[in-house]
Amino acid sequence: MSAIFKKEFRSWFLSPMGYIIMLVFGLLSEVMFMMQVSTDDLTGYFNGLTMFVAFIIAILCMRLFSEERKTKTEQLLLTAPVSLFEIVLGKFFAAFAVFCLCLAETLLVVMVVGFTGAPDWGVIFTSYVGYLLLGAALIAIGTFFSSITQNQIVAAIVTFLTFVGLMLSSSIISIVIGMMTAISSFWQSVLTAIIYVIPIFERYYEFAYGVINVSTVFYYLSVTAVFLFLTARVLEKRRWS
Amino acid sequence: MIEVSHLTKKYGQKIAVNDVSFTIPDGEIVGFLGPNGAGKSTTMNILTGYLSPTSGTASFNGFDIYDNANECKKQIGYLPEQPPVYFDMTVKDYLDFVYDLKKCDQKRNEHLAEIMEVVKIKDVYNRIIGNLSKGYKQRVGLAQALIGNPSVLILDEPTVGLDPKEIIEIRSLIKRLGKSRTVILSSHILPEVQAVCERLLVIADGKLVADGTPNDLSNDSTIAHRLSIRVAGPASDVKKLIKSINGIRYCEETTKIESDAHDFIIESEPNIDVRRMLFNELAKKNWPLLSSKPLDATLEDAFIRLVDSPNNKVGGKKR
Repeated sequence: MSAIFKKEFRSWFLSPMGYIIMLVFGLLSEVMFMMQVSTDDLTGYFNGLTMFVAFIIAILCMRLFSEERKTKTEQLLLTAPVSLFEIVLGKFFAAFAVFCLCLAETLLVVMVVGFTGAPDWGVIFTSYVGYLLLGAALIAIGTFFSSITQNQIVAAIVTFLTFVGLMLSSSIISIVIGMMTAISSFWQSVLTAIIYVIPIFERYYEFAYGVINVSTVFYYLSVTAVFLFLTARVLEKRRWS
Repeated sequence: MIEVSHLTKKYGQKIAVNDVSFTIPDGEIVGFLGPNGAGKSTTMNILTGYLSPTSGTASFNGFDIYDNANECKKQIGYLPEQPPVYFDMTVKDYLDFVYDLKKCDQKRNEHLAEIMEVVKIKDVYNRIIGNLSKGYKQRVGLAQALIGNPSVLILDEPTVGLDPKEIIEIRSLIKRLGKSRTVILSSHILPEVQAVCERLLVIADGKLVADGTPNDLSNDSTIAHRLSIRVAGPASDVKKLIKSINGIRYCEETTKIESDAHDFIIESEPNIDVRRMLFNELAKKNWPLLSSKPLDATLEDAFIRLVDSPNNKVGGKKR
């Protein structure tokens, strides 16, 4: 796993890709901060980052597997004495590491606010925890989409659209509930359950208010595990088709 | 020892490999021969664990490629049709990566240096693979397969796209490598397998149609003997005479090369040597036989016959 992690992580910085991603995310997040204007409450700033995070992760994950499949280098990985999970985890953690570097760029904003004002350090801490968990889950989803196509662009677009759908999902579902006032309590509970599971971005806001809820942590880790597992299954299935 | 039994691979309705079985003892250089699309690459991909067979098994020294995948994969060095190299890495980084990936326990620097010496890529050590020529990429691919000293080398069309000098080098390299390990290489180039391999497996339409040494396959008695001859004499009369000789079933004039002589291709019935009779008959008429050259017994003929009609089985060990 460490070999794949190392190779994958380095490959970001062998091409301009890694630098561009970090630059874009850095600039976007700094612009976001400017727009917040002087305040030492960073909740709004962190909440506003979700869109950029979704964008960056779609770009980060797009080539993880699709590129290997297209250039046939996956033959090397799949015929080496390593398990599928090692391959998937190596790639996942490499993308996660680059994401962490991007996230580290926002520390600059935190430092500025720390020097000039008196932010709530607890909330800042939980926000970072939230972003690490959200990032892991989104990267797992992006990794999965990258494994089902050979085309990076398709992978990136599908991943990003999925993220946008997930962002809008809770409002869409509540509109649906609002329109169907007459629905039975059974369907209401089904929809509530969906509201509980699908809106992966909404869950983050708990962290933004300084709450670390064990069930939410578990939720993010489960989503991550499920999609990494599915990725390995996709690779396994391709051997048989 | 490599044991393959009843290997079948279906892609949907299409059968790519159809009930292929063979055994390869340690240290043999085996050529996998067949036209494009015959199932060579698919078979190799199954042997290396990249694909799974629809049915049948493959095992290396008793380890099944599916049940004990990692033990098998440690013993195999694989060079796929397209060398699996990362274009943005340097040769050094790439070989380091493969070394880590294969979890080797050899001393890293010495092992890699030795391999680079063998495949002659020392001079491009620090260059980016994407900028190398096809020949060098192929050699880097071969270096990758050699990392970890695998006892089995599986090479899918290792000389495709190389220049003649490189082809000769790679061939002699494979021969050298084959002294201490088992090598399976695929090709549709006959002189190549003839030059390198001790044994040939001919595959056509997913089926194994022949298995034997290159000599077994080319000196097959079912293939008619053919001669190219040059006779100084009147073309139509000579042809008539030749056709009348017992045992000759075909005679056709070919391109004329010398001004006062004619060239013919003749084909005799299997197992009949017509050369003496031919000479005597022509001598009687005073039409000198200027040259006579055997055309038969090429692997090419055997190959074309085999792959054209898989039911027409020839070869050392008939299957």
